[in-house]
Amino acid sequence: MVDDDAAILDSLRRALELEGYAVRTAVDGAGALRSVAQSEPDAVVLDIGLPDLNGRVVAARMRAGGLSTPILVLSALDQVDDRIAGLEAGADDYLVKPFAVGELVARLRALLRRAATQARAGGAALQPPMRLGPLLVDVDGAAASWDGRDLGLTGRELALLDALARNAEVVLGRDRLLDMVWGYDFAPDSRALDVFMTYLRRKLEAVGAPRLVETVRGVGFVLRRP
Amino acid sequence: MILRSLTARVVVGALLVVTAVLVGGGLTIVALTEQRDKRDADADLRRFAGDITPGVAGVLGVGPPPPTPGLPGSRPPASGELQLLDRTGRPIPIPPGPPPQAATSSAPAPGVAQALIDAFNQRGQSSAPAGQIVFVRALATASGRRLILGALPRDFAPMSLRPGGRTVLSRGGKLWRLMVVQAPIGVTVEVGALAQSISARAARLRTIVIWTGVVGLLVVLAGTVITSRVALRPLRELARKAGRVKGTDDLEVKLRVPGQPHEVAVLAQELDLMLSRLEEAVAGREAALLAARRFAADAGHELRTPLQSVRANLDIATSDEANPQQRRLALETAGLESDRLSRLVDGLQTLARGESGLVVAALDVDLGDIADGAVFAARTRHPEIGIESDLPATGPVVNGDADGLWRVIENLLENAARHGRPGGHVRLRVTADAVGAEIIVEDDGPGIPLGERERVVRRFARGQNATVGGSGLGLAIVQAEARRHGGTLELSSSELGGLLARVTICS
Repeated sequence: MVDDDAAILDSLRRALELEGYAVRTAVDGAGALRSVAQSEPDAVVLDIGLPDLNGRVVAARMRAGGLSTPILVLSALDQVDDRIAGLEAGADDYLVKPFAVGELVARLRALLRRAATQARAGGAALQPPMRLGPLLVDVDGAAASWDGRDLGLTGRELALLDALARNAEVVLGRDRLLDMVWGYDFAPDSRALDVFMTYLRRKLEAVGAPRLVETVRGVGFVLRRP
Repeated sequence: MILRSLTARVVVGALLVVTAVLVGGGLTIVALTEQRDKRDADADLRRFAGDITPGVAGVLGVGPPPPTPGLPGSRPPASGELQLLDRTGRPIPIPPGPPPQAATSSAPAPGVAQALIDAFNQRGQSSAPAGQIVFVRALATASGRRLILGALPRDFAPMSLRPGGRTVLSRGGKLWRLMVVQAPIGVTVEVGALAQSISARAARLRTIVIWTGVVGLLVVLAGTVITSRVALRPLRELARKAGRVKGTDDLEVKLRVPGQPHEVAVLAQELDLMLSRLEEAVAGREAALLAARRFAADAGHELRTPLQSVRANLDIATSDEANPQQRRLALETAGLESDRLSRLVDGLQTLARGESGLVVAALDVDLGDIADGAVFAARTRHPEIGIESDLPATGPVVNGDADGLWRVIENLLENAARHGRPGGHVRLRVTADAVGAEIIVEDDGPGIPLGERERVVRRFARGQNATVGGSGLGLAIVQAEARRHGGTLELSSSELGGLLARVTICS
């Protein structure tokens, strides 16, 4: 748990410890990077507004350092751009301060459960790469490409594309996608799904793919077979 | 620039111009006058030489005798005045007396000599252009006789006659002007005059010109100083009036007054325009400051209430007398109040951003997709309300801020869900129109009376029928965001029975 405010850090730590988590804290970006390298956490809760390094930079460095565990970004309402940048840097979800501790716990639990399921699946049998025409989605290789060109997706974007591609031509409801990609069995009070969908579409458009992912209003999303 | 004063610049400029004119004119006048004087002197000398040529010829015994002037008797020439020399330079006597009736061509005519002397003397202290003629020399080509009349200076070689025309030469510190005329009858005549008078006149003229110039410059100096001060008086007046603005902060002062010269009037008018613009800006800033102060005061008041409640409940919870059930209730209440605080702070921040009028990250966004997500979130929050959404299959695409537009729809849906009929219906429609898009949210609740609609849009205002404790910021946020997107918020009655909120977005 990374936050520069001691009071918030302390109360959140206590709240999470009550839920049975072991919590290590850091008050700045450099400390967070050190701590992550030493203790290999199962999840990271990262405040965006840090005194030394921006949370987005910290998230990007953690991902570059090979950390694949969930990163949950905390931000203030007026830090929209930083929050979005944090998601682009590889964070999995965000919470806007002030939030209820229950909300944080629910998300962490879901993200950790999802990660554990994936780890077990990965250990048992490798998932074969998905190929749909020029689209190639390889979750285990952590890459997706269109016509040989890499899409440069973050972990959560890749998971989203994988879920859509495995269910091509099937309309997936929002709640179903939230469950498949984030492990949420509740609807989070955030625009995370819409935001990630926007990134995914932009990255597909950037390499020249047609509009593969359609919004079926009132229902959810569908990936059309290219 | 050293000359900072406008007066000084005008004066110096005028002086420079006048000096140039005076110096140029004076030099030209002096030069022209001197040239004319010299030409006149030459003509005078030539004429005199021509006039006395017959007499000279007579004395030298060349050509026909001139007409005898009727002179009764005669005086012998004064010594040194007239000399007649032979070819070798020896003096030969000049016979006195009247000329004989039939004089031979070779005999000198005494009467002629007298007439020549008289003519020379008559010239005297002449005021003719060439001044006094000092001497006359002549040579008879055939006989070689020479004639000297007047005072030939010592350092002039007596026998040498220069070839024809005018010569100016300096001898013994004096400037001489000599004219040699060759008459066809075989006589060469030279007249000599001092040239001093010409240069003296030129010097006198120069002095006059210089003094006239100096006096002229002084007059110009005084004149320009006075005129420029008078001409610049309106400008000084303007500066004085403008200076008063600084002292009193009175921006309503008018600098343009009738009777100002054109240039000053233009300046004054521009300054007046500037002042009025400044006045507007100051007024605008004061209004903004007032609005911000009121906002801060309102926000402070609104935040204090839930804070007070949190505080009181925490006091109960930590009190020794409270039983566990009371404690639990107090803490739950504090939690609810803290949620309310969160909503208020969220709303205030959103509102502040919307009211700042800042357009952030305007991109082409699909308003329909945003609405679809917002409807999903609202349905999750309010499963008891039937939320119906009527969206086109794709679009409308508008240019704007996705986050802000999300907040518009979220707040409208939240409002409808909270203040509509419990377990009722809410309908959202998004349509493209000519200039952008339209968002309409309706409910089947009690609605808002006509007279109250304007008020509820203001921040912290709540409708009379409002039962649930909202932040009182929802519609204010919607309006601020709508304005930020070049649109409006209108409230009217819905056919469903409740309120209809219509937001237009300009793309």
